[in-house]
Amino acid sequence: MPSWSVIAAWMVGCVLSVAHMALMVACAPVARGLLVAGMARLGGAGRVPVLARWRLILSCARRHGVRAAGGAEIVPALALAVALAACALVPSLALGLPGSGLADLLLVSGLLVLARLLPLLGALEPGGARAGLAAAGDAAALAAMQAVFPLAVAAAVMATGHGGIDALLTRLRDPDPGGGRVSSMLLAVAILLAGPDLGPGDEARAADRMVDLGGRGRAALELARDLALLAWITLAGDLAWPGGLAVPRAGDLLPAAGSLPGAVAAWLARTVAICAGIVAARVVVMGAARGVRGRLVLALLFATLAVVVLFTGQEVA
Amino acid sequence: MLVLSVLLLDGLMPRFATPQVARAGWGLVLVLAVAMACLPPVSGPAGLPRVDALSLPFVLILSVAGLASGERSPVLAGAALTAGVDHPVLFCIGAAGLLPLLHARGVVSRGMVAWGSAGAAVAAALLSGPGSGRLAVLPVPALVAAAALMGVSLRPLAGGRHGGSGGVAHLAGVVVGLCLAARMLVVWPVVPVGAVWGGGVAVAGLALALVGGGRALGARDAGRVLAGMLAGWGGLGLLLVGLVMTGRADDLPLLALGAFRALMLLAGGVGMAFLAAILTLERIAEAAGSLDLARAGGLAVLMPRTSGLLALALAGLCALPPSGGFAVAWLLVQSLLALPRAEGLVGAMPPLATLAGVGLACGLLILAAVRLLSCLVLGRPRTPRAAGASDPAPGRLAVPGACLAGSAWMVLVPGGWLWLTRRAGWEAAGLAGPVPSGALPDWLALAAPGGSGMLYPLGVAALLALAGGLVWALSRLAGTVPSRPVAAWNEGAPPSPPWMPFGEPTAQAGPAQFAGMLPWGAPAGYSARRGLRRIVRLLRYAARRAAWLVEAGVAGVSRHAMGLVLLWLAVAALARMWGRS
Repeated sequence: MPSWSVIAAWMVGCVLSVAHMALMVACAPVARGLLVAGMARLGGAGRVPVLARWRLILSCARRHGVRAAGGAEIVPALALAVALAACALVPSLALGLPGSGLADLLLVSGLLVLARLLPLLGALEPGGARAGLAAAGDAAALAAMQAVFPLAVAAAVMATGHGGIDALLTRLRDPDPGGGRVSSMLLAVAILLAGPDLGPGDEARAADRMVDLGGRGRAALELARDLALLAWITLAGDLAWPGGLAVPRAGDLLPAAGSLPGAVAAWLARTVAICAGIVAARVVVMGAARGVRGRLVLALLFATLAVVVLFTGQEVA
Repeated sequence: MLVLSVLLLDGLMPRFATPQVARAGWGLVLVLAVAMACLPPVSGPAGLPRVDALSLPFVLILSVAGLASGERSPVLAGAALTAGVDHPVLFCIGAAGLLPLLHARGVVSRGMVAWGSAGAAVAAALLSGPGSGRLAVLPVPALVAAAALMGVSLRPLAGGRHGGSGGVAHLAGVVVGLCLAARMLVVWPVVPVGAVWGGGVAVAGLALALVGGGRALGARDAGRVLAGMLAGWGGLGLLLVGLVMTGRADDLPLLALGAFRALMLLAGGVGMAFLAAILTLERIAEAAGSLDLARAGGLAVLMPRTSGLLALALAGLCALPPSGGFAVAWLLVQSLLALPRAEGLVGAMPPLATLAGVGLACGLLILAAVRLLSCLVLGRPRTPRAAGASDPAPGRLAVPGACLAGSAWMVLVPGGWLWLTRRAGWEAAGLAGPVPSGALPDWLALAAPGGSGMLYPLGVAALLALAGGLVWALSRLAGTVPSRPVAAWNEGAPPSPPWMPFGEPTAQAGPAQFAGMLPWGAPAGYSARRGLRRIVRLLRYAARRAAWLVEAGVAGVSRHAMGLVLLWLAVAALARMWGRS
């Protein structure tokens, strides 16, 4: 029989989880809006409002939509549910919340891949050539990127001895995590290259895929895309700088209430910094890199480097 | 004995037994096998053949396959008889007898029947001797025999000449092949086979899995896609057998146990999902005719229940959460990370390359499943026969649905299936005597062999259900309205003419769109592929010349046999005289 203090801590943890989810849902379209606006501004395409994504989602949700296939009523809701589940497993504010024992690096990446795969099935259902071609290209890219995620898990396990996200981040917060800190930063770059749909042409392909969809289904799919992107960004930010997360003190079940505003600010700062990095990489470095192969090679390279740096100190010693 | 006699009854009377009798026999086998798994082991009289602990999981899966399919051919019975035998020579005879049956069902090519029989015979001969020195070459013939039984090879071809459509016989072949690999490489050797061979078997399994995934991606009809996916999972199963061998050789029982549990989940959870997919495809073929990916299509509207079942079964075959494939892939990755590594960066590179290969194989299987689903279920119908399809009676879908439910039970509550197969795991891991506390399976969790994490499949499913309920509740609370159906937008193109009632084929998504999308289909890979084809052509030419020379030599020898014998006698006599002098 658990004591009252444990039950109370669990309930407070549930409230914190709800707050985490609300923050993620509220910020997801803003994060993609930030990316789109930054790329448009630096690419010379003019001003795009940061809140344009939110406006699009709300207007789609209010409209009487159309669908060209029956699955368009189910698939967007499934994709949104999977994206929400993945977001629930990625810590943004604090470690040790209820359900955090489920969070595993391979599991979260699998859920996020599933959240990208389900809309492709919705696009293939009407049978149109343009949407089908875009969906086939995205499915092949997802299949090729599967090679990166086991490598990412390997780097995390070799650096910290843990594959679970909470245990991994807790170990990375230690004063002396070995070569794990540099390794986790490289790992963050690898999963940002492999996971989200940020490459050149991804936006156009997404528009092609959703050409036959409107209304609440379109709104759900757009929100699911944004949530998956923010989950990847948050995971990468956690790996790159786990110091901003609030953790329970020794003997406590939950982090102190005073550390939570700082954790929210740190999460926002991490997200904005990663968005700025992505914009810079898209505009400056990867502007000409068309296709998936470049990203796949880069992601594999960074994931391998994340393991290599773990051994550099040993080889020198 | 009772199990074996029932199996014999089933296998030897295929012409007289009705499906109901066959199902009753398989049901009896299933009940007996479950009872033997639940009850404590009883040592029977010496000399009587009995079903040992390791054969129980494989016999269970085969009996479920027989029960579900009502199969009356001797393939399944022969497979169950072979899997239930705990003696190398008898097992070899069973495997050699099974290979022609599998060839008749299109699982194994003609050449591989001879190679597989020879491999099984050589492996049985190597295992029968008293010494352990001969075990140094055991994995080669055992691997050849297992690959022949499973119908996997390194040829990246998927046409009609190279294999039949995936059926229950394919599943039986994979199960017996895995049983052969587990027995001959892990359990039967008197001393564990070296860890280097474990790595070799793992690499061979990974290569076979990649080729199987490539076959599934290039196949032209749904049955062969399924056969390719089965070959891919079979290759991953061989990889797991290699990991069990390494765990035994390096005296790491928890690694061997974890890899064997993944093997059991593969054979059970993924195997049941395969069975559901095979049976559902049979129902679809009855209703819609050809399963050619370029001819069928649009079944989601015409056969919604069957299509939903096929989609769920294919989801169980992909390595995406919360399916059985993901649980296997998760355990596989964790087992690879728990492998003992040589010091330094050089020692870490082989597991990393294997991990990337495992990820790629899983990606290929996902892509093959999406391709199958998009061409068969999604899109528009392409032939009048497909356009006239309709759902079968709900009772006819009960069996594949039950198989799917069994697969879900094995994956979501892994402790149940792993508890039934616990003694096989202990035997494979070499745990004799008192069993350590970590060797008992957890009911709801899968533990990583290296202690680096836990996976709760039921927790993941509950989280997804919670998120789905949240989305549904928000949709109801926000008062969103359902969308109305419209015709798909064809980008302003004129409507298709009356002689094209199913629309312009070039304006629809088809099976070819997926095949060339991967990097090796890109122009950069053309030169490498051309070089590879040239080498293959040269090798084939050399093989033809060698075969011609051998035939000519044999013909010459047979033509002058008498003279050669006389010559040999003369030479032998001269040699003997020269030796005496």
